[in-house]
Amino acid sequence: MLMHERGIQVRILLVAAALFFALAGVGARLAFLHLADHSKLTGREYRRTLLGLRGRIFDCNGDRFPMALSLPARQFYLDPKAVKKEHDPRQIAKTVAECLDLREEDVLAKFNQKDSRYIKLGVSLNDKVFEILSDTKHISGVGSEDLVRRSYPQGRRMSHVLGFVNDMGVGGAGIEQQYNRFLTGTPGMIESELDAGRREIWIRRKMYVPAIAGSDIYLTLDHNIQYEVELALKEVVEKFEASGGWAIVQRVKTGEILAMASYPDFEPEQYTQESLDVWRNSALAIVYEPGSIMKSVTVAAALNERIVTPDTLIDAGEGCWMYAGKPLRDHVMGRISVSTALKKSSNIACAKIGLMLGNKRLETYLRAFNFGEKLGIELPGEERGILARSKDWDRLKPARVPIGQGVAVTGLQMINAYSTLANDGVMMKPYLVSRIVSSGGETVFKTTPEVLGRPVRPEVARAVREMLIGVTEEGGTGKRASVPGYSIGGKTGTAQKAVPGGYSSTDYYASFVGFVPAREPVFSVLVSVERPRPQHTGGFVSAPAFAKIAAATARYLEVPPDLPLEEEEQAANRP
Amino acid sequence: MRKTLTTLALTVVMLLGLGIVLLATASAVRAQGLYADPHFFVKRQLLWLSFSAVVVFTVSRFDYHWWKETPLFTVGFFLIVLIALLLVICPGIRFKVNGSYRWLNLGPLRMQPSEVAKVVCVVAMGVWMDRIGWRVRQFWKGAVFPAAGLGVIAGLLVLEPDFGSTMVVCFAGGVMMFVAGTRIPYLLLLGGIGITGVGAMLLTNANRMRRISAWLPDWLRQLLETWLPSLPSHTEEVTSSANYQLEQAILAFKNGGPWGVGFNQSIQKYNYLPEAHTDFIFAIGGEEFGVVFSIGVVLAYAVVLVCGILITMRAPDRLGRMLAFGMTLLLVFQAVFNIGVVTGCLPTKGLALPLISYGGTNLITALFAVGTLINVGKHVDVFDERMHTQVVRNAVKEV
Repeated sequence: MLMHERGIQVRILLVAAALFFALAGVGARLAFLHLADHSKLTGREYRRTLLGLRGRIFDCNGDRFPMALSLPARQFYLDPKAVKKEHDPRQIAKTVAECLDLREEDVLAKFNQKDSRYIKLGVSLNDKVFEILSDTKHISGVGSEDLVRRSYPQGRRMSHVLGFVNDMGVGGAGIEQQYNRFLTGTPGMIESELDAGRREIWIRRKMYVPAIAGSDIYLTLDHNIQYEVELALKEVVEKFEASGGWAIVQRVKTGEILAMASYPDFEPEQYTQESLDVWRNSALAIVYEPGSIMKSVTVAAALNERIVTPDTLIDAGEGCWMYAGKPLRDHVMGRISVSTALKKSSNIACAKIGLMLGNKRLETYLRAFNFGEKLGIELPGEERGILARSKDWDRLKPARVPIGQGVAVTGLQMINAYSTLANDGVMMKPYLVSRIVSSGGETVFKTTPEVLGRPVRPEVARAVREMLIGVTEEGGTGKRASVPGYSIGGKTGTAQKAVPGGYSSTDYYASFVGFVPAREPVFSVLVSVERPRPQHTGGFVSAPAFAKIAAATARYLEVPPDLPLEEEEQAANRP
Repeated sequence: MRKTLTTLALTVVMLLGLGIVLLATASAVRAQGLYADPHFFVKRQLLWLSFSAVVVFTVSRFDYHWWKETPLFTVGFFLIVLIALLLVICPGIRFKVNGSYRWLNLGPLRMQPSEVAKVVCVVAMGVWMDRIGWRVRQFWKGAVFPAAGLGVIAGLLVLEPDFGSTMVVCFAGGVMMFVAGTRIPYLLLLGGIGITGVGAMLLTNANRMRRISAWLPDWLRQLLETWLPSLPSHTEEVTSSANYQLEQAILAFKNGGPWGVGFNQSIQKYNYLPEAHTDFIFAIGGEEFGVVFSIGVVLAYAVVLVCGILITMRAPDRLGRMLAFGMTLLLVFQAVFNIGVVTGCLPTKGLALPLISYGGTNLITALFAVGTLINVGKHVDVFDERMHTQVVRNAVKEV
């Protein structure tokens, strides 16, 4: 050994000591990090609210055709500050515009709004779009969040009954509002941890509360009948340049509503584009003087009180009758029977019948037919109508109320009164929700038909029905309401629109209400048109629309025709 | 000596076992993501471990004097590694992983020649220093030739580039020269040349510079900036991206606290820590098992150091001493450096934690070092070197 053994040993020990100190150093550092700086990591928590889907709304055909349903969607938004330098905003804008069906320039303009970090781009239901816009290789600055989109597959169909849902997910009209509590789902929750890619580490899930979808609502309405009703209503309103109209179809035995429409209607998905007036369900929210369609109620009351019989003769005078200092005009003259009074819609005769009843009894009967009270249908905005107490009536009213003036009703009250007559005097409560089924499949609620009262005896109802058949026969005011093959009972009504200080001379409500078939009624139909021009009579304006609805509904409901086909038609059909 | 060897072997086995447990938890996320099998890396590592067992068994039985008696072994080993290092960066064969060429494809297996280069440097340096004997004091034989040998290997490693291994090779080689008796002035001269070279490399590479300066304390960085305007600017973004791994590692230790979050409960391994199963595996261990684990591992390396130095001091001859010292140095220096990086004491450099980190070549070379230590330790009681060599020669003749 040429070098001193000792020297080598010293050098080895020097290096060893250095390494030892280095180990001690990192050991000290570790102890410091672990013990002195000990702090639980934060910002790695994952928390997500699961959206409970809103329940669906179906018509009476069950769950094949939802009228309203909620779909999970993504709301895409733009954060201009998060757009990466290596990405071209134009390229991103192009992709976004293609995916969300927007104009490229509009999207590009949003990239320049640097003061906002949340600019809504659009909503998409398509998973593919989400995939494309989440591709961080090519897209940056575009974010998205869960959203539930309320969808109405049939567009405007039943819009007034269904209503709409606002941005907060709360129903704002119709069934959506009335049954918001049932429809609203219960949100769920996930609590977990996040990985570095901001995704949930599912094996670290601490809590999972599944969301519960809202209950489904089944309506009594049928979208097939509704279609015919809306079509006929739209036609009549447009043809007569009316300001609006409403129509109802009701099943007489149960009181369930088969169709209910108002026009103008709206697109529930874009409800904000229409005004408040359009959202209103006119069929139960507009209070109007019914006019002659009220006469059947007056006659039914008189028959029930045995004051008159269908054949009792009443003097209709010479076309003008002074009562309480005001003339009451009529186009029917001479002594006519009660049936003729109804068939020809004699004002004077019906007013006299009303006077024979007396104020008190007339009011009692009107109230028994539920005028002046809500019927309690499951829709918001139902009106009570206006029916003053008889002791407060002025001198003129006793002669006007029997013919439908000085009393205001809703369309729903009117059709319900005719359904009562059609149902042998048993008044059913109108309803349009047949059942509510929870998302678990459990029926939470089921409507059973409810009897509201029996204002007239069955034979009286039958007698009035017989009389009302005359209206649609030759010589009646509602000839245009007849439907080949079916006996139709109904009544026309033409009422001047009440305006401040009196009645308008140009604006009318033209109505027709009736039931099919007249002898064994299955359903009743009401059509009211507001401000039709130039013709304004119920017989001319509303009766044809009624006929259209009645014909289609009768065939759809497979109501057997009760009359032989008319001879001309038989001839035409013969080969 | 028997006790020392037993202690060493037990400590190594403990570290290996701990390594597998840590790998099982730290690599699961990555393996699931890459191969849809959370145990992919564990299975691989177990395979390599069984292979390494053969290596450690062979090396501990293979008389280290053969390195000297048959210089062909040493020269051949050195040349094979040299060729492998050339192949790694040879255009056409080379392939890039994480920005550098480090891998050699051997059919189903992949090797990192840079790991093997570390042991070959130690072996070659030991043999050389033993061979030149007293001439270690000479300028050429004692300083320039060994430095040139190191330089060739280091140069090839820089080309990959693999600065961690370069540093280990230079450090281990240099310290071995120091211990062998190279004169201090020569060492200082060589050291000066080496530092100049490193400085030049740093200054010419903005990315490397950024990593270093991100690690520097603020006052030092500002001082440097006034002197070196070419230093990359330190916007917050740059610093944070360069520092990201380090920050995440430190967060892991802090999160671990005294007792750790528990086995498999690490959150940092969910891709927060990019190299959770290789260079930064220690941070995951710290997070899951707390200070007891961290200090325990440091103590285990201290035990390896003590055992290694004991074997070195009592080695029967100069070759045994150089080999034992060099191998101890490899194991402990890499461990210190890795833990230093992970805890933020040293700038981020890709160096594996010996015996624990995932990586087959790394495991084999670490166990090669352990095997050599055991081999030398077994010869401690044979005092007469010449006599021992004679025994070996006779054995060869008989064969």
